[in-house]
Amino acid sequence: MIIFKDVTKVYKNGTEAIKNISIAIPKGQFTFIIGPSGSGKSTLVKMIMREEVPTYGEVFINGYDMLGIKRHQIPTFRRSIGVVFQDIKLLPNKTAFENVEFALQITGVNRRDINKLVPHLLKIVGLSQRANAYPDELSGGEQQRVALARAIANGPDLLVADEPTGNLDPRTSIGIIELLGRINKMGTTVVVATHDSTIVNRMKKRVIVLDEGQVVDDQMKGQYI
Amino acid sequence: MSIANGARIVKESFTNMSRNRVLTVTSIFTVFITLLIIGIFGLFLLNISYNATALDELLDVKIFLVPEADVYTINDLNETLNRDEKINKVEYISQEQAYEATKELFDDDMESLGLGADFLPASFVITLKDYDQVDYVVDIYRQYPSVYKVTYHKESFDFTSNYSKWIKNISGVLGGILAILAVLLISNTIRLTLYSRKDEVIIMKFIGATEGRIKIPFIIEGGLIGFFGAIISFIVTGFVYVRVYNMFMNSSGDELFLTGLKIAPLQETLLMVFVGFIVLGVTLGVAGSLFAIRKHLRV
Ligand SMILES: Nc1ncnc2c1ncn2[C@@H]1O[C@H](COP(=O)(O)OP(=O)(O)OP(=O)(O)O)[C@@H](O)[C@H]1O
Ligand SMILES: [Mg+2]
Repeated sequence: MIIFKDVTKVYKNGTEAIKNISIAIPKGQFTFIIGPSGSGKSTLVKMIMREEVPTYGEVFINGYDMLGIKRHQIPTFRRSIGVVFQDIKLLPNKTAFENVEFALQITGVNRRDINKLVPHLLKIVGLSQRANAYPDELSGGEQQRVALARAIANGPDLLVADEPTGNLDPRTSIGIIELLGRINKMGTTVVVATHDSTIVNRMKKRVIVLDEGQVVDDQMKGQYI
Repeated sequence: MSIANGARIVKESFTNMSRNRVLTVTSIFTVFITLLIIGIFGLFLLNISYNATALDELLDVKIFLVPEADVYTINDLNETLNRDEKINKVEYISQEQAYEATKELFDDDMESLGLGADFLPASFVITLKDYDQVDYVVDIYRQYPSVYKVTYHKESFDFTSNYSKWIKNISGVLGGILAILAVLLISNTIRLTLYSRKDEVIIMKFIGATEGRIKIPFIIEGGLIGFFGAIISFIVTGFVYVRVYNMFMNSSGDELFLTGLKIAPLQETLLMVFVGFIVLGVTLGVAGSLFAIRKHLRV
């Protein structure tokens, strides 16, 4: 559940990246955020992950108030979301298995559960066969699948992805977005910021269009025009 | 935190250290030099205070009283001296005691010389808390009408206050500068680690690692740098001290022995140096890491 209420984000240098936006994304929805470069997509996503905080207005994510949240509550909040980056960010000295395992270790999951969960997660993203491969032995699409397995490892209610297919070719991109669709069907809310028209048009999901920091369109079965 | 988890975190720290080897070694070296200097000056000071008892007598101040001083005046002065913040110890020596002490010295020849018990004046023997204050204290008591004269061994005071003050100042300033340098260098090393592990930190942050879990490997890394620096400086300092100690012990009969100087005992001293070095080294290391990560690792 995502609520933005009259949110404005002004960066330190004075750039007004988001201008008085109000958005609600209910639990379980699949939503694209699109718009031209510089329209504020990443800024919006960063406010969802609480990498940035709004300058004015209110943001509630999974019931947490992003302005009122205490510092010690932030890790717990972060475990309720999964994050996927455009540049994937796998640890190069760890195998696919270990990269997923890492997310579970960090949050204190015990050995036995880790050994059950990691193969299950790799199966969901279709990488069971490549569990012992290192990132540089995997294609871009495969790497992003590992990152997806890692993002959902702790069972988040919400998955946010900023340009998850930004570095991938169209065919691979479709594979990734369909995987995101499947994760969404399993009950996870998914928010994807992108300017990749192929994946948007393929999914026929909600599309919020930003321009110069404002919502200019919001369609339930949107298209990238 | 489980043992496996703890072991993994320590391993992480070691991996970090091997990643920027040159800086790590430089940092360890700085800790080593810092502790070495602090240690050598510290041992010097320790042995000076250990020998201070030998100098004690030379550092007494004697306040002689006029013969007419009566019991009340003497009592008043005694109280004043005891209340004086600058004075450590007060001892009254009556005419009789002074006479007896002198008699011993001259093999009972005093009487034959026709000198009676009232030949020597009564006195107070005082010791000071701070040897620097001697001129000030002497000036005050000199002015009392019941005081005949005040004597002290000026050279001894000058020696003691000047030398120990200089050693303290030099080791303090040098140690301080080096400690700051060590902290800065360590923090530089840690900052480099931080940089090389930027992605890992971002991942940890968004996976929901606690701030403590993110910081601990860096803090351990700093602590280890301090620890290794401390071990090396302990080995070197210990080696030097054992050499000096043996030199002292084997010198019975020759000049060194005749000076009456003593050296602080080997085992206790080395243990003290060891504990001191480890505590100081690890503190410097941890301070360095905290300095490096203070802003960077907010969740
Ligand atoms: N950290 C920052 N400090 C200052 N200005 C920023 C910062 N991050 C983004 N901006 C500015 O805010 C505006 C919105 O940027 P944002 O990254 O949200 O756009 P975007 O829609 O994600 O663009 P793109 O499609 O290129 O990724 C831009 O003008 C950008 O220059
Ligand atoms: Mg962007």
